[in-house]
Amino acid sequence: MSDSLPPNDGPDPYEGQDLEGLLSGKDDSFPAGLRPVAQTLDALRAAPMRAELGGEAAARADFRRIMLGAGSGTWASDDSGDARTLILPAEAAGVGPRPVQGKHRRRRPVRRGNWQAKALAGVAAAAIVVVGVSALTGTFSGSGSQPTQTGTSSSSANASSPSTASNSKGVEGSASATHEPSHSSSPTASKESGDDTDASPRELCREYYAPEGPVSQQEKFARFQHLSDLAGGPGHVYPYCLQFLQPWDAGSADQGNQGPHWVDGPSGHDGNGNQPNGRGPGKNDSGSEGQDQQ
Amino acid sequence: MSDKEWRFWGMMGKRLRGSGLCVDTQHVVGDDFARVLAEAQGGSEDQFAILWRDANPALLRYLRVLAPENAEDIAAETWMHVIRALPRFVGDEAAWRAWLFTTARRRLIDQARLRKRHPAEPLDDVSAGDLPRSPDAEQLALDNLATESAIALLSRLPQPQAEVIMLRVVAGLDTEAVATLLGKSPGNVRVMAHRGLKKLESLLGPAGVASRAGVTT
Repeated sequence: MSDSLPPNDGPDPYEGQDLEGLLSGKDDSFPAGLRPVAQTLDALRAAPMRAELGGEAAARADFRRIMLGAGSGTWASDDSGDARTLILPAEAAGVGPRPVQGKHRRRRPVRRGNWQAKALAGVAAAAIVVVGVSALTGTFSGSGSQPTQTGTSSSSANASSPSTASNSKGVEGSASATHEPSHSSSPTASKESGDDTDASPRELCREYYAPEGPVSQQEKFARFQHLSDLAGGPGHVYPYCLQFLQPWDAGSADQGNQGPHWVDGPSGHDGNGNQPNGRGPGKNDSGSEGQDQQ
Repeated sequence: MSDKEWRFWGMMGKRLRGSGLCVDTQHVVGDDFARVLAEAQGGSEDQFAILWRDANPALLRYLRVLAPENAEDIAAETWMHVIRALPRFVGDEAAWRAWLFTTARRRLIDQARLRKRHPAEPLDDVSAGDLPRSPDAEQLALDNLATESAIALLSRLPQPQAEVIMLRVVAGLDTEAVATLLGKSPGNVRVMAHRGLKKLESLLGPAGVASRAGVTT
């Protein structure tokens, strides 16, 4: 509808200028019939009511929240440089990648019992090996050292026996003219270096621990094997032979041998309680012979 | 709001000020508007409060005519949008008011659509006599009688006519600005205003509207 056309309900009672003045409120030159309308429009332009200004606090709060905290979501510093925000570094929340929250991987419990069992088994095996090695080593060393000691003692005894002419009864018989060490004669003495299998345990022990001549390693090993069989094991060889190897036994005097000699069994101990320690009562620097004392 | 709209509202503000059609001088900030706006855009809460106190009563009256049930909510939502876009606003006071009421109208339309899709169930009807009254309720009623009566009277007009009158009278926009805001031609705006005034005259009758001074015309 054109602006020039009057309204449908009748002729336009107002002119355009009056209408504009009525709406703007500046022109009071409107018809008297429009005065109630003008007053109504003036009432719409009236000063603010109290209720219309009641939301200022909320508006200020919205302004602070939006303007001062715009963008970053934190309190930003304004133009005056008032830094209200404690800006934390982004890495503070967590630098590394966070673990996946959705899937919880269960760690399989460590089987400590199995590990401990293996450790114990290893330790036990090692202990067995060590014990076995030590047993073998001790056997060989014992079998090697003890004869050496015995031999040494016997040799020392042999060296000292000629001059001692000991007072003990054990060496009484040895105070003979012959200073050469000699073994006691035995029925099998002639076989000492030959057939070991037929020899008695005493002879075997003597041949092994106190051989008269140089013995090869093979022969020595063969004798040891034989003794081991007789004694019941390698570790029992020395205790086994110890009962036969009693140097400076009193019984040697009967044989007319001087110096240390081998007697049969413990019964060959002298009455003075001298031990077959390799030195024996023969070590007597007095130079007197036992027979002289008697 | 696009840059084209910003330019339009800036131009409209110049036109309104130059033509002297921005008549609602009672609530305008005046020559100090540029400084107030600049400081408000810089984050000054007090300067923003000046703008709010100047425009919010008119905004509420406009909304109370068109949406009496939720005028307060729409006004608050309008200010939220205005605050968010405030740093980007360019224009004078007339453009500022035009932008404010444009934003309010958009929120009003959105609210109307929302209410149409989700109609609200009214609570139990409470008569006016059952409402609690403050000690100074009568005095407040007397003080605000003219304004309240005028708003109530405008609410009885057809909405397009009431909206045009409110934008012209309360918002202080001229015909061109109102036409742009409503998406109509200026002639159409004038016709609607004309019909609205005639309707208002018929509603007033011989009793008229009680003025704030209590004088009945």
